[in-house]
Parts: sequence; structure tokens; C-alpha cells
Amino acid sequence: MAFLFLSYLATFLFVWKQKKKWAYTFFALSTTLSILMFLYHATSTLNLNF
Amino acid sequence: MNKTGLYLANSGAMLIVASVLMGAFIVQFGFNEEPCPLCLLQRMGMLGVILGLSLNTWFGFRKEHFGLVILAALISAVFSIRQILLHICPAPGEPTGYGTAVMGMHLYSWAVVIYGACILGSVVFLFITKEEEKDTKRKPLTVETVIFYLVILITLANVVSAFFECHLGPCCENGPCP
Repeated sequence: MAFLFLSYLATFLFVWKQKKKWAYTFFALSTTLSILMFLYHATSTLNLNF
Repeated sequence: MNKTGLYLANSGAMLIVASVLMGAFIVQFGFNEEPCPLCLLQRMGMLGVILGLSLNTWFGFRKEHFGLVILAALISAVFSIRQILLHICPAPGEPTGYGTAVMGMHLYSWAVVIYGACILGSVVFLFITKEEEKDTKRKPLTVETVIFYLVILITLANVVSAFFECHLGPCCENGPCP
């Protein structure tokens, strides 16, 4: 989870440095990872659904 | 509304969503409630919404920035609706919902309302703003920059908070990782 937030932090830093392509790349990475994390939480046998 | 007014309104919208994230920290530390895995994912959605708005701050109004806001809001609304559906019908004897209710609604229910407002707000902005040139880079006003730095600070706080709760990877079963 912290890695995902770190990825969002990197995205904001790229926006600050006005590097738009890198910001889009890291946003795509963060969003894809958060969807994958959601799917893991939704399908895991562990009690993560709360 | 003139251009400066629109950019200030854009930063105002950023501040509103950022204040929701600060509110989540108040619930986390004030009421001693560790955020659930789905709650953390919903916080990320709010950051995605803020990201789209901050692109407007640094690169001018563009329709793809609002597209990004709408995308982040839609994906995160799915996370919130999933959590609402998990708690909509509690087991007998168990409390309704997860966590403390704020003004009668749980945080994940509020999240859906906020994502809906973000989508609606983006539609309004798309109607009233004039698109900037493709490779525009603008110098934000001081107040816009301050709000942007506040957002970076909130994101950093979330990195630290999520690290202590779930470390780098997925969360652990039944609460914070040992």
C-alpha cells in the first residue's frame, strides 16, 4: 500500500517539475496497481474485505 | 468568471478534496481508527482526483485533465460501492457499517457522494473553461502553489501512515500488519 502512495507522490513531484509525460506514466502505473490491489483484496481468502 | 477566478476555483476544488483527506486523518488519529484496506484505496482515488486538478494548475485547463479526474473518481467509486455492499446488510447482532459514522453516513458512503460531486464539477468546468494550447506551462499564483504543496504533504503523510499499517505490499488480515 505504501508503495502505491509513493507512486502517487512521484506523480505529484513530476507535475511540480512540469514533466507531463512522466506524470501520466506514473498515474497510469498507480491506477493499474490500485485496481490490481483491489482485485487481490476482493478475491483473497484472507479477511481483507472490510 | 475570468481566467484567474477559474484557476482559483480549480485550486478551491483541490482544497476541498484535500480537506476530506485531512478529515480522514482526524478520524484515524482522533478516534484511533486504523483505515481499512478499501479505505486506503479510496484515499488513493481522492489523490487521483486532486492530481487531475493539479495538472490544470501547472499546465492550464485541458479536457484530458478533467478526463483524468473523472476516471479516478469512477474507479474509486467502484471501491466505495463495493464497501457499501459489504456492509449494507450486517449479520444479526453485529453493528451496521464499518467505523464511525459522520453526520449519519459512514466514510465510504461519503466517498461515493464526493466522487459524484467530482464528476459533476468536472462537467461544469468542461462547460465553462476555454482549453489552453497543448504544451502550455503556466506559473501558478502563490495561493495555488501553497495548496499544491499542502497536497504533496498530505500524500507524504499517507505514505508514512500506510507504511506503518500495511508496509509496502498488500494489507494483512484483520487489521494492521505486525
